[in-house]
Amino acid sequence: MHVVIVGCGRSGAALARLLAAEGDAVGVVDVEPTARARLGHAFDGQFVAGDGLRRPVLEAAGVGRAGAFVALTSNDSLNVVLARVARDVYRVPQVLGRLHDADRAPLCAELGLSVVTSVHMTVDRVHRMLRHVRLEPEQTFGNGESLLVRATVPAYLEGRPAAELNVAGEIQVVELTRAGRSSIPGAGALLQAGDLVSFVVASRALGRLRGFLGGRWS
Amino acid sequence: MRVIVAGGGRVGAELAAVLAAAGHDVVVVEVDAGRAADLARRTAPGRDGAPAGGGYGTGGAGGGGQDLVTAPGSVRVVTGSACVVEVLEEAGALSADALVACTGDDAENLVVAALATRLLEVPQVVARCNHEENRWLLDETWGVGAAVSFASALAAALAPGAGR
Repeated sequence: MHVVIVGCGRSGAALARLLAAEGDAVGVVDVEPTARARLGHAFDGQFVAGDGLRRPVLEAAGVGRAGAFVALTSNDSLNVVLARVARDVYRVPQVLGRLHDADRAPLCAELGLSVVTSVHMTVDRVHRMLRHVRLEPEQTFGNGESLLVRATVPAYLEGRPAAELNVAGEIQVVELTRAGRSSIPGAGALLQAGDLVSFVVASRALGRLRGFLGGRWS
Repeated sequence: MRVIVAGGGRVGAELAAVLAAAGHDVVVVEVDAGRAADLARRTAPGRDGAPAGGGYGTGGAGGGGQDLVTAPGSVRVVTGSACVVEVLEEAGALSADALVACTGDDAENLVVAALATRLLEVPQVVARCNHEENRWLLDETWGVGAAVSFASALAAALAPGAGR
């Protein structure tokens, strides 16, 4: 796949190197010619120095044949504009933008643009590490508002209905693995000690889920 | 008319003064606190030493220029980023008749224009085009009713129909 990344700062360069190492063809754009140095000598993709809003610059980086486009400049407004141009003008199938803070997130939602908000992600992650050390998520959704976490059922919950752990809008049991076999627990399913249960949980309810499980995760 | 001017640099400040002098009520949104305070001082009603007329200030952006002629309209200054919905609401976007996206960054102007039209339903939005190379972007899909650069304005003044 051809991937275009605009913004060759630390994040852009690291992503470009990762994707190139995995075999993707990568075109990187940065307004600053010296940013090329961040890609290192081993980088076998393309670097275009120029303003990412200029069509010739984007086209030189291969936006016309790109399967994915990522806007990672330091300017949040520019990332919004770039993402929309990639999607609506060049019809790139997969487009992502990075926002440093959430100011422009409502507009991105209105425009239907997928964004990651770096401050949100950092705060969310650190908050979780500080408060919920034993609830490492398998997967996060959106900007981390919802998480998929897995935990082993402690002995004191033996024989209780799995559905008892559900809290509307906060916690939902979605899967149960017992002796290596996975199933989606029905309404009457009972827990056994040692079951591995998957929950989708709102990040604000992590403390509550931890409380249910006595904080004794394994 | 109630007009919001997003961006209180030299162009935004002079635009606000011209609009106010023409009788409009103007709110300028400026992200730089120092520049916003300076603009508020230069446009405060009842200030001393207001020029008799004509002069719209000679100071550079935020540079402590002369007082600006604003009567019979008014100028209010809101400090904050015009890319933030709450800031535009504080500037009265929900009851504004028009907004001019007047920052020195064309991407910022597009974001402000899209916010104003799509989330706040401001009826008329005009954007400053800082670089002619970006003109292709400043269109209705971003809520921009008209995009004006210095070059296009001068061309339009010289020969009607020559500029856009």
